[in-house]
Amino acid sequence: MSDETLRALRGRVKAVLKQRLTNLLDTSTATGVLSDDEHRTIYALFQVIADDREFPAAELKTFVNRRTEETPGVLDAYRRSVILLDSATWKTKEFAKRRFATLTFEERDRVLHALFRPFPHEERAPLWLRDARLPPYRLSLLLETGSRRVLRHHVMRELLTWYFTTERGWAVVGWTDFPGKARPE
Amino acid sequence: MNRARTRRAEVAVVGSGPLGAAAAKVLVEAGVRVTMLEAGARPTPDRFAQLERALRHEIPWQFQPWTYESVGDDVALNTFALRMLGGSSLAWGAVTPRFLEADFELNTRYGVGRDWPFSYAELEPYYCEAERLMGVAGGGERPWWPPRSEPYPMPAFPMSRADLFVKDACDKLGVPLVSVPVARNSVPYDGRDKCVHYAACRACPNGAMYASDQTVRALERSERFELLLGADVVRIETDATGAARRVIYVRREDGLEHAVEADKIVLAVQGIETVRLLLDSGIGHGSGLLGRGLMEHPKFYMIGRVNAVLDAHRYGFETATTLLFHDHPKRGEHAGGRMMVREGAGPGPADVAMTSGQWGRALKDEIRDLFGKYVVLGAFLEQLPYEDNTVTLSSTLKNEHGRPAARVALSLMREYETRGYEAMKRQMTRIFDALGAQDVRVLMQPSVGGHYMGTHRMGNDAATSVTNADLECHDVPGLYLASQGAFPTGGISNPTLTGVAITLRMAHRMLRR
Repeated sequence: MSDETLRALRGRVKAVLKQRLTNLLDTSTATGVLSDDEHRTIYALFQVIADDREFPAAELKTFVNRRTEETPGVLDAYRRSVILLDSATWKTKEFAKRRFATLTFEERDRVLHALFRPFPHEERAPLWLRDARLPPYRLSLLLETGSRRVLRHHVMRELLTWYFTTERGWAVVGWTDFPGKARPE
Repeated sequence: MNRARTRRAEVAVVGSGPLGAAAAKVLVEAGVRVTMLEAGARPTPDRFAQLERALRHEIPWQFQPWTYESVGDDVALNTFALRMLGGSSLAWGAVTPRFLEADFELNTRYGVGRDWPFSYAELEPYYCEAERLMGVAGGGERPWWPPRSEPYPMPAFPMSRADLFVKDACDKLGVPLVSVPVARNSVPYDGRDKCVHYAACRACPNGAMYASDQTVRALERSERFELLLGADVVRIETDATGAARRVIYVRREDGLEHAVEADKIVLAVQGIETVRLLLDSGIGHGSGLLGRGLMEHPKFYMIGRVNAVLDAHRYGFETATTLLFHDHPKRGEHAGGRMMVREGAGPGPADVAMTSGQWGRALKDEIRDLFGKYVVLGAFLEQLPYEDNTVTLSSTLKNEHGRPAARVALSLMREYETRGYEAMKRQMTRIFDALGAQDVRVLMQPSVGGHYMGTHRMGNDAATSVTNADLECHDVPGLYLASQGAFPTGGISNPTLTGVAITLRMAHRMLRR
């Protein structure tokens, strides 16, 4: 194989990997808002992944509505996630075909564990993986497919990132005076 | 295109960033009628909404993006060069060190680069004026910072817990860690509150950090000052004698060309757009040097995990630095650098959440385990002026007015800079070793810092420079180029303060003529 062919092949592989690592949303789909039922499912998911049972549902709804109304593809991602979560409970005898939002906190967590295998943050990954620019989340992004990929890498990621920039999220690391205040000198 | 209306001013200032605002302030206060043209809009008055966006990792400011062609290292114009009232100062780091005395005589002292057309001593009074205008807090520890004729307007911010942690190790190694001058209020100043550490300075909501829209708002109270917003300057025209005479702009409101006729024109639109505009206007390139010698400050970061819990993401800005590795004896052979302790070291809670595969309680435990346990050391390196780092006109890309976009060709790291990078990494590694840090690595390879310098360098000789020391174009009388593009060399200090100082010098000398 000539150098030129090899270079072209490398370029194609790189392009496929890049697309795989970046494209999560189907931006040809419509914007809009979720139904109340769908919002209930997203809130039920959010409570578990944020480990926060008291977070105001209305505040989350405002955030999700803004995202689904403003950015093409996001509404579709949330809808596909709701369908996936409900179908995951349907497939499990234990939950007797109940909707995801009607499960207890612990049951919902078990559904998520059945869907996804947890992995550590890249700072806790072996150095060689980071040097290879293949931290665990990138590997997961490459390996997950379909609605599971959208739920894990768009919806859950977006909800958690948002949560940890709110007052309640920052409180996890002791920021009780969010968003700022002169520190005691 | 039809021209709708011609306005008249004594001086037209294009751009409302810190340099344009400084020029306008001096002139208006001296009784000159000034018209300022700004392409962007007024920033939203709800600064707390902006803060919230910044805290949520969203871009706080929205502006008409630049179209430009990039060859080599990207200058990231749409990250660093905001088109709004206040310009890039709306989202800057507000770190304002002076250049050192040696930075003005690089060629004489070390045989590389160039000398400036004036010395540090000559610029010093204007540095003081610039610091008063912006409100700079600093400590000025000698011998590390250059001599000053007056104290800083405000006392320095105390070092953060992370700084003090690093300082302990640096003291043992004989590396002096000193305070960093910053344009933000350590005490109430100039009618603005003191900093209360919202830790998202790019959207400082209480005006503690200087942004030049504050200066412009004050100027708007004067009847000698006129502000035109949404005024996109497309051309500079000269009169029959070759002197600068008219600023032609397209008003976003009506899409028509308008003109401001002025005795003098000050372009304060950063070093890349200045060149693009002049080349497209067909003026100012008599020496053939316009657009040549673009410099940046290559910056890089190293990170290490330490056995301590530090106040990461709590302070908001850099407060400790060392100049020990800058003006070194081998500066003729390799770049020096200014090392700094970075605030916000390591991942914040949202950063962990973004790339962790945990959720629920396990994620919170992971966040607590990772948060505040890192030190990040960074450095700005000195880059020499190279004639083939250029700003020219693109032959393929057009801007929103159908005019040629800028084509920026930049090679950031050559031999001089790479050797400096390696030397600086060795020094940082020594410090990490002294900190007992683990998992030490380069977090960010050398990248641009948004410091666009050298593209229309000043000098005393029209054959080797674009403007004279007063920033007036050698071959276009009455046209003043007030940007960091005027710097003959770039040093290692963030350039805005020096840019404002040379602009103040320009404005005062303009008044004396």
